Amino acid sequence: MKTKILVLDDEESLRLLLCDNLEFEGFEAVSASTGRDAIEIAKKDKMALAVIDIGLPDMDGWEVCRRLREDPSTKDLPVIVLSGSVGDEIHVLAKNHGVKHCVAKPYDCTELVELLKRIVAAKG
Amino acid sequence: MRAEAFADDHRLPANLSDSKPQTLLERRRSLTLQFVIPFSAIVLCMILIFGIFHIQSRRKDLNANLYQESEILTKYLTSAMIDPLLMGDYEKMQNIVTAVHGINSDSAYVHVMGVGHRVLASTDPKFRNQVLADDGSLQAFLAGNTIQVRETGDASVFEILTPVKFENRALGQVRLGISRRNVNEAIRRVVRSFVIIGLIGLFAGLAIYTYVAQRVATSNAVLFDQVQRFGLQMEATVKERTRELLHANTQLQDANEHLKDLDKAKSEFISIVSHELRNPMTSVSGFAMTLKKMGERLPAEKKASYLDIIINEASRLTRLVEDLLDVTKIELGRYDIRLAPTKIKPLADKVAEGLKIQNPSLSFPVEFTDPEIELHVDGDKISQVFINLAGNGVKYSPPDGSIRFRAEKKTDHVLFSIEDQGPGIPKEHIDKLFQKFYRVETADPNAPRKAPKGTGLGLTIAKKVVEMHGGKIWVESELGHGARFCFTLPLAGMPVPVAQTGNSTNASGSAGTTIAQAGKPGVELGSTGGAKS
Repeated sequence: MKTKILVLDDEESLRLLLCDNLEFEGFEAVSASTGRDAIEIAKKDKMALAVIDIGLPDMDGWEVCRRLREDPSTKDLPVIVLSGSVGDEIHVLAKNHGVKHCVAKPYDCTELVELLKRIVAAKG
Repeated sequence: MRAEAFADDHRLPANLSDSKPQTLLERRRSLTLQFVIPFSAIVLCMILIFGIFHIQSRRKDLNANLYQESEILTKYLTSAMIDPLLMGDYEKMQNIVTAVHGINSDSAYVHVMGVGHRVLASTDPKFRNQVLADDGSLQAFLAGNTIQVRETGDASVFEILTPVKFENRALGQVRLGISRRNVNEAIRRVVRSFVIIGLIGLFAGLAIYTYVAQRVATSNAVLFDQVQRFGLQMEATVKERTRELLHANTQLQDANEHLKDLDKAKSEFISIVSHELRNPMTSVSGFAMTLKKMGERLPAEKKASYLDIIINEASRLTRLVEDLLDVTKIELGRYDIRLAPTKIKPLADKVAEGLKIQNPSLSFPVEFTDPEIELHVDGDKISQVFINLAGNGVKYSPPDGSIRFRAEKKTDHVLFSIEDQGPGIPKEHIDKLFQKFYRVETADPNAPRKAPKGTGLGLTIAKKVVEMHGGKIWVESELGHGARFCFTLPLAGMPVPVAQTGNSTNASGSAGTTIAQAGKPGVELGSTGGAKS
């Protein structure tokens, strides 16, 4: 069974870009365009990793992280956050939400996929 | 007089002070009284003291004089009586007594008595031959040689008793009554004249003093008045200044708040712009790299869709940059609009045509009540408005929907409307719709997304363009019944500020080209379409 990775981004083209690249690498990418959908998917299906964009239409990416941490079934799900900028503020927020990795946009898709692969491998 | 006129000319504004200001006359009167009453009292006291002293010393002098004269008279009488007493010549005695009494106005009476105290001669006939043994000590007195002075029952008369002796033998005595009438009269005169002079002096002094005091009081009152008025003016000035300062402070605070808001808006704008640029840039570079990396392994279909995405995102970037430039220019007042008599229907037709090519399933009817409507506008900019407004409709229309262009001539303007059959716009978004980067995000993943994602600036630009032409723009919508974007353009042409047009003709030669490109419906049509999503 393929490792499942959740991709949450409201931008359709970016969702497609990441999903396709992950699938080329042999993962199963599950995409969501809203925070609510993403949380539902994460609860229903066991995900190895979640990539979450901060700017979302229905709720803030951090809010998604908080809700994931609250639920016992998703509280240990590793999260990578995608944000417009990565400054001190973002790092503080990331720490508060149990997020270890932040990637600034525009990101290098290849590098991002490499990072995801490393995290999944480390998790075993 | 001057002071009174002064007071009349400058009535004090009563409301400025709580204490009711005295009139000048009142104040002058009170000041005069304050000075005159004590002065009068002091002068009166001085006159009184001086008068008492003077009268006392005068009385003393007069009395001393009286005693002296009386003594001389007594001595004379005593010596004159020796002979007649020795002789027993009563007639002579009486003649001398009468003569002396007649000459001397001070003498009240004269008695000449023998050793037996019988009155031998007297100025008063009823005493003659009477025995006046009224004092037991008289014998001793007669034995002595002294003159005795004593008061009588009558306060105005005193008596001098003198023994008449001849060779140490008492012959008799002389009793001389001296009246104080003349002395008292003299003193009365002195007192009277003193009182008269004193009163005249007092009144004269008072008159002079009152005059001086009034002068002083008047000038004091004027000074006081001026000081009081000055005080009131100062108070008013201070109040006024305080008010001004408070006002200035408030203005400063407002300005500060405004600057803070502007600064915040600027930061937000920059963060939004950078965010807006990041997403398409990530897409472009990401898909390009994926294409390169995967190469021949990618199915042709995927390749084509990636290339489409790259092209779309790149053009979105271009549009974003152009729209940003437009917005910036509009905000700096350098947006160049070139007015010329323009027929509007051909512009709408062209826009509709272009949209139809891009969205074949949709229909774009153009319904103008007067197809010949000609307005004094910048044609390219108006086309842009049509594109931006219709682009919004395209995004939300059902697959076979129609987007209607309408124009209706009113008294002083033309009302344009672009109506779609989409789901409509929720009320809470309507007010903010024309704000920069404001988007009605659809949480519904099934929402139709035909047009490329907008820049979030299309409606803002449309609004500015319409306003620069002197028109108004708004949106009417009811959920479930589509949206109707309306704008007006004035018939008489628009009152463009000359400076703005003139300024931008020079400043934005190249910028003008950019805008002109963006406005060319044939070339750029779809690309500027989706203003808001």
